[in-house]
Amino acid sequence: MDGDRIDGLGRRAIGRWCALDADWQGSLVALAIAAAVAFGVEIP
Amino acid sequence: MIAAVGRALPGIVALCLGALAARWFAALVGINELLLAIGLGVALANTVGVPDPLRVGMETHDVWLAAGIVLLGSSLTVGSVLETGSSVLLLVVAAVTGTVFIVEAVARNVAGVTERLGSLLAAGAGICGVSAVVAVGGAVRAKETQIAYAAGVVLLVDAVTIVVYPIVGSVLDLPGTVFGVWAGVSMLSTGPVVAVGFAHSEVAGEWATLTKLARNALIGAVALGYASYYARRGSGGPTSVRMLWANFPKFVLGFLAFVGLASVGVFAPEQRASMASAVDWLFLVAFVGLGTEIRVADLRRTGVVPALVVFTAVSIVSVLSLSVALAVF
Repeated sequence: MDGDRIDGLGRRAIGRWCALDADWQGSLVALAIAAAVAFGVEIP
Repeated sequence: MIAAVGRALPGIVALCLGALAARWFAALVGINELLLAIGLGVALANTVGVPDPLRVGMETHDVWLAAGIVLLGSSLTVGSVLETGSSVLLLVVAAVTGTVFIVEAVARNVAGVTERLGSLLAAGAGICGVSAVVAVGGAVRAKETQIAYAAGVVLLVDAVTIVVYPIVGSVLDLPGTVFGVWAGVSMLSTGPVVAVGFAHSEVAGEWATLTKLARNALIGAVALGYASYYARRGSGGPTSVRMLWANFPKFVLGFLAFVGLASVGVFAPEQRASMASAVDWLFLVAFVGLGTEIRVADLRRTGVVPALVVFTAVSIVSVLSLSVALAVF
């Protein structure tokens, strides 16, 4: 059951991602990197 | 949907491998890694060609370029931008206006290029390359062949300036700010501007990006100007806010948001260092992909006259803007 729900959420997320243009996708990638850095990830 | 990710993954992995190879080889032979990354892409596309399984992933280079530009905002502050920002803004407005008028004048009065193609070339040369061509193409109801033609000319000029600007910068030993502002004001597409800027120096890269983003932000004004011009003559297309927004480079907003966050001290120095490393990697990955877009066979098909029109305008604006940048910065 949980597996199905997670699978469904994943598919929806990928669907929404694909619907975005490169500018928005890039901005979200930047946001994800900034969040990772804020949580202590170091990028060499 | 999962299949879409699967289709992109091989190409993205190839871009990452290309970026690693560029960094490793550049350190080995002492060549700039960003220009080498573009060179790797050009070599792949013009020898064996981009293999079909890699094509979708390699076309994601715009995503990595946008991500790099947004993150680059974390290394600037509002204060540093305002320091020389007003002079840059004036130069940007003058260069965009000058380029558009020169291309229009040469295209119509000297080269005999059709009016709509001339307008597309003027927008592509004045603002931000292919995005501006597409935005203005919609506003003036240009034919698809004219849009493709103008986009081809923009890519041809990009390919030449990627080689020429670093050489001129090195021969004239231009300071970082001057080189950055000059490249940002007079080169065409965003990717090549960022590439040659950071290939020159960190400072040049930051100023090249900032100047180019200021230019990109004028895309709406130029598209509206053309739309109203052609509409008054009864030959324009409908221009909506939605259409202008669709072609507006949204990463400019992300970049400004990060400049704002950096200005209020959200990022610690070590976090800024990590994000600066991320920017380097993102640009390397993006530029391998950007290189694959430079295909000599496609460039050969570009018409000589439209290309000469844009080269003339870019040369004039380039010389004038370099003189002004040297005097002001």
